[in-house]
Amino acid sequence: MCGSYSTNLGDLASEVLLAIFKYLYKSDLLNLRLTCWRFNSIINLYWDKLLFQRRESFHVTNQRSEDIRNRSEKILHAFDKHRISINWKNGAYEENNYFLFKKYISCLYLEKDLLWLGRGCDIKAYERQGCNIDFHRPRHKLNGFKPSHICKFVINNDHILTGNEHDIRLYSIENEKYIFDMNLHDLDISSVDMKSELIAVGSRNNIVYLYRNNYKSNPIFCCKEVLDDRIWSVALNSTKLAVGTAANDSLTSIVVFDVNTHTSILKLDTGQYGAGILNLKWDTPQLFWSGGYDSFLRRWDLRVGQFVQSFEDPFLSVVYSFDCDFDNTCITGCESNGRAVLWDTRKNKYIQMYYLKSCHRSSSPIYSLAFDPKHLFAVTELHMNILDFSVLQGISQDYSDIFNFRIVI
Amino acid sequence: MPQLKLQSSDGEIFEVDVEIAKCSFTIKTMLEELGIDEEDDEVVPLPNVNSAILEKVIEWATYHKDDPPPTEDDQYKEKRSDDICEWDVDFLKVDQGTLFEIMLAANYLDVKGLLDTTCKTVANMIKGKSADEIRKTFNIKDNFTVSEEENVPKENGSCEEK
Repeated sequence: MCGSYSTNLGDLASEVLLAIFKYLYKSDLLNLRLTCWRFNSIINLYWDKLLFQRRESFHVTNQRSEDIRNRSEKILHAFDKHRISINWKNGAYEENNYFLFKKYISCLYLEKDLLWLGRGCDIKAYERQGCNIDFHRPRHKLNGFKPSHICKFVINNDHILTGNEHDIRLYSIENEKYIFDMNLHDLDISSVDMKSELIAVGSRNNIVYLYRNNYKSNPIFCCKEVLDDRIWSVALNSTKLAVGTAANDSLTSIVVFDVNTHTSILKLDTGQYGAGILNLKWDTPQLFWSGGYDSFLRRWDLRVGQFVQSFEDPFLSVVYSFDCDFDNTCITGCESNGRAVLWDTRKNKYIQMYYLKSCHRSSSPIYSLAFDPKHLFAVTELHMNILDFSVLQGISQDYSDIFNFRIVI
Repeated sequence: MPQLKLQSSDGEIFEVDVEIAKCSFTIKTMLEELGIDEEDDEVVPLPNVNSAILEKVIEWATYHKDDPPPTEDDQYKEKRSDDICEWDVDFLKVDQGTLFEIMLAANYLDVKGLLDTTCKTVANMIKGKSADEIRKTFNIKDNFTVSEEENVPKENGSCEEK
């Protein structure tokens, strides 16, 4: 009966067939693949892409930016992307937590096979396979820092820059030695950043220093800026320096400098005093993320001179830390209850919240967090928690709808 | 409203509103790039579309002329095939041959909405069917030999991880 038609499904161009196939489920594609050679070869050829059509709604597992690929163990298969993304969404994971003995503010940095943890007197890099970490034998160890201050550090180009009390140090990972150790007497350092040739140092006494790095000896002084408030964060890209302040004495919470002319090109504010910016991260040359005391994660656009997106913490808590995949996922770490929040930057509402184990009774903020497509690493004052979302059957702890409950009396 | 003349492959001429004709991206580009003026009494030849199909396409475009253009958000939405509007469902109650010819025309004329709705219709015809049922539905000749069928990659290991 069907043979009588002049035009058949097989007469359609491959692009049209693909347009049909993208609506099909995996099981239908598998069946269709058995019907004839042409469909079989088209589906095999575009298998990933067909399932990828759905990846637009994936969380965390997109792996589209170079940055996230650099901290992923491998590029996930389309099936795994889908499955793990659902785990993130539903809050299905397995959790391990490690007791860290002493209360410190910590800082994390994640690489493909290493996890860097800076806390107390030292910065250590532990080898990791997925979420398995050998805490007993660090691959790298930098010590001798003063524990009274945060071990803020940045890793870039196989070098670590640290800021600790009045000192900045540059360590070559490859040669396992310090390149410089410089004392900046007048600074009470709160943050550092490094990008190719540039080093920025921010301090609690309102001063920012900019240096040029030659990776051989002490960096060359470029300029000094004095702001109205203490500085909590600095972030460099190749042409600009963003500085986040406490915003107590002036409304300005972020100042952006041009690193070539050493002039401030933009002053940004959130419209409230005390909306200090604890963290800054460049997204593109024109856009950057901020998080801090105003309880918002915000994306700022230099071209319009204000924030273009803002994500308010569901409990209006301070955003102590955040990490993003430079695609559409951000995770924020909050002030209390060891709570982390997953955001899809295309949506206004959060996707899921994760409460870290062993933090229920303490009220420690998540000082630092980092994620790859499968894991979330977070540190509180006493614990390191690792959430593994690649599990096949995890118990789902779904907090995505907790604000929708109605109390009926 | 300015009119445009479209000529089907079998020589029939259709007069349509320019705005309706422009839902075909192909015609829209043609008008803009060739600078065909609405007052010119020119005929746009469509050698790939016969009169029966062209009439259907125009019918569809006329009904959907006030649809909002697809937004950027749409591309992030999950692809669903169960949201075909009722009018389209009725409109596409045609034999398979006509359906596929409408698809070919929608593809050639680049009428995105029509292509989407027909693709969904065909996808719904495939969904939930076994390989044999799909072959029967669409009269697909089984051109696998037995040994070849064994070579069809199984679900796992079909794709190398990149």
